[in-house]
Amino acid sequence: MLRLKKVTIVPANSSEVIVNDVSFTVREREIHALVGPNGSGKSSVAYAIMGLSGYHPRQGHIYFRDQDITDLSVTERARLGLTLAWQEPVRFEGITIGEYIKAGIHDGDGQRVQEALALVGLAPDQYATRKADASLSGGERKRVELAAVVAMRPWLMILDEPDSGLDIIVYDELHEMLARIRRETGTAILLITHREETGDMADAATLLWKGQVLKSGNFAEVMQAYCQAIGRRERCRSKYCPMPS
Amino acid sequence: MSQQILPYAILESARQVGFDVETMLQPDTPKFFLNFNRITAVKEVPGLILAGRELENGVMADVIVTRGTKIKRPIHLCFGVVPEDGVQEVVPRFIIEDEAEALILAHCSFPRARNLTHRMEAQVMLGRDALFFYEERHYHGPYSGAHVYPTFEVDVGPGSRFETVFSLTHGTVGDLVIFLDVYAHEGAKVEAVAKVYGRSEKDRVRIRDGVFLEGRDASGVIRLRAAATGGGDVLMMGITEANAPGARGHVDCKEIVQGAHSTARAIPIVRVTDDRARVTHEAAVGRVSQKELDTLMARGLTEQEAVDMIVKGML
Amino acid sequence: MDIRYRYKGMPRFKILQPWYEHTSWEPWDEERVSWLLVNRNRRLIVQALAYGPLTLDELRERLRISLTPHLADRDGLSYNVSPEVLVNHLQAMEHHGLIHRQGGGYVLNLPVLTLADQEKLRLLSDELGRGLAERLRQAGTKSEWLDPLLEQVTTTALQMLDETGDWETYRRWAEEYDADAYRTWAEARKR
Repeated sequence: MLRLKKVTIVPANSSEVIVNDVSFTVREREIHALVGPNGSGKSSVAYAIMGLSGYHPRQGHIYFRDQDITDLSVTERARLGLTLAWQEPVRFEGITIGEYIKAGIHDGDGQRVQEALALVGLAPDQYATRKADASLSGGERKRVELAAVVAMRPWLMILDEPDSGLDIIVYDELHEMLARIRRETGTAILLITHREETGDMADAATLLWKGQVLKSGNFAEVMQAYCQAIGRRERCRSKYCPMPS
Repeated sequence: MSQQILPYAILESARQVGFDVETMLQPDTPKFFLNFNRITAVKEVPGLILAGRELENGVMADVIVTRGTKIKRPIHLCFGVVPEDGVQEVVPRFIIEDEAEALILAHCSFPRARNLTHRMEAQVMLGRDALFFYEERHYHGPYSGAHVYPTFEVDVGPGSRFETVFSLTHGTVGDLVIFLDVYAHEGAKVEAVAKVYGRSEKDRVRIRDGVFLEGRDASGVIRLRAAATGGGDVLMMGITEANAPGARGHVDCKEIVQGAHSTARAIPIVRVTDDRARVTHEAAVGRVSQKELDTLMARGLTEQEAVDMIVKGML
Repeated sequence: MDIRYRYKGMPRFKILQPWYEHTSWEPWDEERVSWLLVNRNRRLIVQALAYGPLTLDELRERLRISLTPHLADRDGLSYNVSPEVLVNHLQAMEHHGLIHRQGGGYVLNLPVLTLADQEKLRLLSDELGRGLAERLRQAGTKSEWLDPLLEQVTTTALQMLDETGDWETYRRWAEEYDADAYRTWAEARKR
């Protein structure tokens, strides 16, 4: 579905290599977790996959459904079935939630707005006509963002830290929501997170460490590599932690 | 039937800007329609006086809502010119007497304008404890060939409420200069909103809205929203002046400027001559945020579609 | 006696929108008329005082805002400017030198020209204009010098007349209303 091949990213207006020679693959219908500490380059990889300006790979290629998309625009990638849900979703003045979600539906099926809202736990009759502005809480904004990407029915959605900034109650609901999305849509998900509980549902994972891939494999293997990489001497709370107690 | 009342091009532009044309054309809908300098439809209802005299280039008209009358249905006005060039002058007086209420939906349409001038010199007066909502939606066609110069002078009587919305968000602008002065007397409330989208380098917008708070506890809000893309030029000036104790006012200008050679200027002016009054202002001018654009492009919209959607949301 | 207050370019004081010149492309980001006169109610005060001094009560009576229909047989509406707002306007105008108090009333500091004055001005300006045009033609003066030249000539002439005590420099801004020049003149007059 998605393959990064030796991608190196140097952001615009900078000479610092943020991501160096990164390769990994996301399969069809797979939930793939991209984990790593803050500053490891996870979001930069996400932005490069989506084609945002300033994140064009200096080296390497990105393949989506066997097509080289390295030089395609954001719009072209979206039209191929790739999309991104932001960690901090934008607030739009004057645009309703329904209009925002409908913007990603290009085959005229307006019913998907209602379905997407229901899937993320927002009552369609209440939320479709509300404005997508500052009146929404953090949790509501995250759900609206998820609904927007789900409604597109993409082949692959990139979720940039969908679990950040949420309290524990909402977080549990998010977990359930992602499971439901996977069950009902079959979309592949590239899940960027640094929370173990979110990565738990992943079929595969890649660990980024200082801009490079340290480990790819199943989530347990990746978390073990993470614990070793940060030099733990004692066992941490992770159930995958290989350190002695 | 409808073709005789108004040409198809004008009715179609009314539909495009969101008016309910079927309702407009219903025989019992209160209305005053002008096709260049011919009055083509007048419908009064109890308490509503509509008088018009055709001029060489337009019309002189009175719209009066008599004392205590509350007109529930919107009154539809339409001033249109179909030919590509010419001059139309409209000189209306709106008088909303004591304790009367009315809503006017006005459509000004110049769908084929290439060198067409429209001037309106309107005077409005509200009596005591009256309510008047006046919304004007314009359409100037695709050629940026309209020169449109409306001026309004409004007096809002004690305890009355006046709200006005001017919008020109479909099609091109041409040359637009709006001059609105509202004088709010004791306890009056005023809200003036203008929304304009200049899309090409031939589009020039000048809007000057002034709210003068001339009575104790009068209040006024001016909201100016504009977008200048593709080389358009927009200047909006919002003046709020408080001259009475307890007067409260606010000016809010927001403009989006996008594309080479586009210019947007916002000038909020606030003045107070009574130390028991208070007026505030805010202004923001700039391009569309890249993150907003990226978000919508990541949903499959082109950059232009994304800009349009964001601008329309703001307007 | 028909009095018309004259300011830059426009014979009727009621139409005081010199920046609203929609046939030209002049920008609006300069307030070329004093902010005091942007407010119609203050312009009405100036108009009322153009006929002579008035007391507060007389002004309150005169400042009546009304609108009658063009065509319909109906009385229209009217109301007065509220007393406390009138006082605020007068205080602002007095503070900025547009009016002053004299006896029990208010007096306009701006000069007012009668129609007869305007006719005299026209004859004088015709004569001066003919002379100046002939002189410029003979000198072969460049057209781009014309505006600064006219300003310089007017300033010099007024200074010379002022020194002799035969003329008052406030006439200058009566011809071309200029907020800065007015303020300077008003300050000098107060002293």
